Amino acid sequence: MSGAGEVGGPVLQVSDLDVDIRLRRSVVHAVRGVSLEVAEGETVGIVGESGCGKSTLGLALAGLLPGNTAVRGSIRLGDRELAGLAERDLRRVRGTEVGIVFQDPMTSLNPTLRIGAQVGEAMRVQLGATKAEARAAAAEMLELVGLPRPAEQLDRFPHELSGGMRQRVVIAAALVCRPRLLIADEPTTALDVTTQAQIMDLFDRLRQTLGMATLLITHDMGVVAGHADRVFVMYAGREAETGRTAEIFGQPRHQYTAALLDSVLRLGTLRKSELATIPGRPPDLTATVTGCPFVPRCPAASAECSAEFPPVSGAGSHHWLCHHPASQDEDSRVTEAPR
Amino acid sequence: MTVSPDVPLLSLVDVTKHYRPGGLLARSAAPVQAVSDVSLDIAAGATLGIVGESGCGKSTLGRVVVGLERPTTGEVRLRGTALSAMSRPQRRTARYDVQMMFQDPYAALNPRMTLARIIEEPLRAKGGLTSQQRRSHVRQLAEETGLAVSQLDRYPRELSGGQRQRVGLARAPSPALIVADEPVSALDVSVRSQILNLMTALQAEHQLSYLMVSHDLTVIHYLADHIAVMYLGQIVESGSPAALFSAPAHHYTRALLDAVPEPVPGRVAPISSIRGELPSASAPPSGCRFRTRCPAAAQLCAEQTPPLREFGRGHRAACHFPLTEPVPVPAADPREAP
Repeated sequence: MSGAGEVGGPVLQVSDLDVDIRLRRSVVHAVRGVSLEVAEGETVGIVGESGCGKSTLGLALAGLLPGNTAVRGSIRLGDRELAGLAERDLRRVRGTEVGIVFQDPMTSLNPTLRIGAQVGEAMRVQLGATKAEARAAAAEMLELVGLPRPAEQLDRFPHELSGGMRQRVVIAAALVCRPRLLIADEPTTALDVTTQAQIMDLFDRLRQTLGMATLLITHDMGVVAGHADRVFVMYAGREAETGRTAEIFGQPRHQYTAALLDSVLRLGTLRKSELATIPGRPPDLTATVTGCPFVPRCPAASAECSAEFPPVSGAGSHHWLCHHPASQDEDSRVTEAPR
Repeated sequence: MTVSPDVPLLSLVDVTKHYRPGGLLARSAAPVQAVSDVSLDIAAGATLGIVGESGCGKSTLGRVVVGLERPTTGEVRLRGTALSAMSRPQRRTARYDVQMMFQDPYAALNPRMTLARIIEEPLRAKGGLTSQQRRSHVRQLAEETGLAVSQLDRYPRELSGGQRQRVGLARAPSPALIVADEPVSALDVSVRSQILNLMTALQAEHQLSYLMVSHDLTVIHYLADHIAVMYLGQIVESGSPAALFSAPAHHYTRALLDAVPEPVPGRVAPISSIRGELPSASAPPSGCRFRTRCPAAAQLCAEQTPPLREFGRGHRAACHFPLTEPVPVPAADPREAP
């Protein structure tokens, strides 16, 4: 680890981040005015429906956006500004200080390269390690992520492993240079439930061992509830609400957060009962909206909501951007596991 | 649920499906035992949920039921008649009775057809309706599945995932059974609720049966009247949702339940109970197939295949060392037969 920064200090500081994606005839405002911080050893869950901008946000932070995008605002990793960095410098940061894990391990791994070479690649290319050093580091990392018989796995190819084992390899490759920040975009969505539990447990353990800051991007509220310290709810490219996990799940204030939590199916949900839904669908992000973007789907919307974007309310760790926040008394939502 | 009629809508009787691997070495390689000796009944208007992880054979089972695959041995019976024994016209009718709903409806919809045409196609193939009647039927189906009539001249690519799933339901004209293979796992939570609401409403209105295949226990628990847990091609436990969720007998069912990520802050799925990887379906472990990953496995599990035993009314599990006590084998009581 780089050693800079005190324990628990902010590793990532994003302020007023905008991401525009230029299409042939329109511009998608995928991320709008997002500010967030992630501290050392902390996991922040980014949640929202498909198309809310959460993956674009992750790509922007990783510096992986394609050429037709414009990024404004500030992304600070430690005391370094990443926004506006040249591609060559960015690539170095990406390999060494930021690790990335995507949903489908097969697309992150090169099918023609042996696992040892892939896990050790960042060390050789970015840190100038020798082949032997990289191989030793790769073996150590594979052991850390719980691959059985790591020394034997070094010479195997990705297709020889199961989905869960491949995702472990991807995690090993992302963490081999001991990055300060890990961005995990739907890391368990393609995996079976028992494998998912194992991989999430692995993330928790690695976080304790390596102390990295983690951004966990997912649509799965269950995964976030169990593994994030704080939650950042996104809607239409903007922040809707942010707070400690217990605050978000226990007292959601933004109408969108409340609706999202209400529509989650639980084991305790009455069988074949009418399920809560959110009417309509997320807005078209090419349009510019003056008011709150959730208005067309919101049960509490008023004229005020269409006229003006809601200001930030709340105190301490819990903030929301909603003109008519959900009732604070409605804390019956915090439930114990139903069994 | 009402008392099931004498003849179930659909029965699987000792269904086994083996695949011969293709290619040069096909002769020497062992077959993949995708489904082994599965027997199940689905009553009219009821939902059977099949739960298990990738590679457990649940999707193959669904394909066998809709007739996309022929079982290697065993029988699929529709209203008591084996599919293999049906005459050509009977088989034609059966095809409309059993329809399939896929995880990715996009792959199942012809991209060059409008929605109206896609929904009309099976009606046309079924025959017996004038084009006027078909058109009004298409509008009715669209309305029932929550599609706007104004959308009918659109193409599949213009639709969201949830809307495509609605089209998938609309184009199954008055089926008796819908085989739904992970129908909501690719959808956002709010859209997932909409489709599940639609599936429940259609079932209540038309006495529809579902064979719901999913790895997601919350979805299975919500919709299924009876649940079968599959592991490596076999049913290891089956029973009502209440029985399975409150008192699972099989260690694999327990592990699946433990792994469900519930949206409760700080609740972390325990991972201790299950270890290792799914063994190969071409060389399944001897005895109990789950023994290589089971926390309670002993010598006996490797030597003998555990039989399915009763753990309560309609609740059966195949485990030598179950988590609950099996019902002692009673003196024969003809009324208690399932």
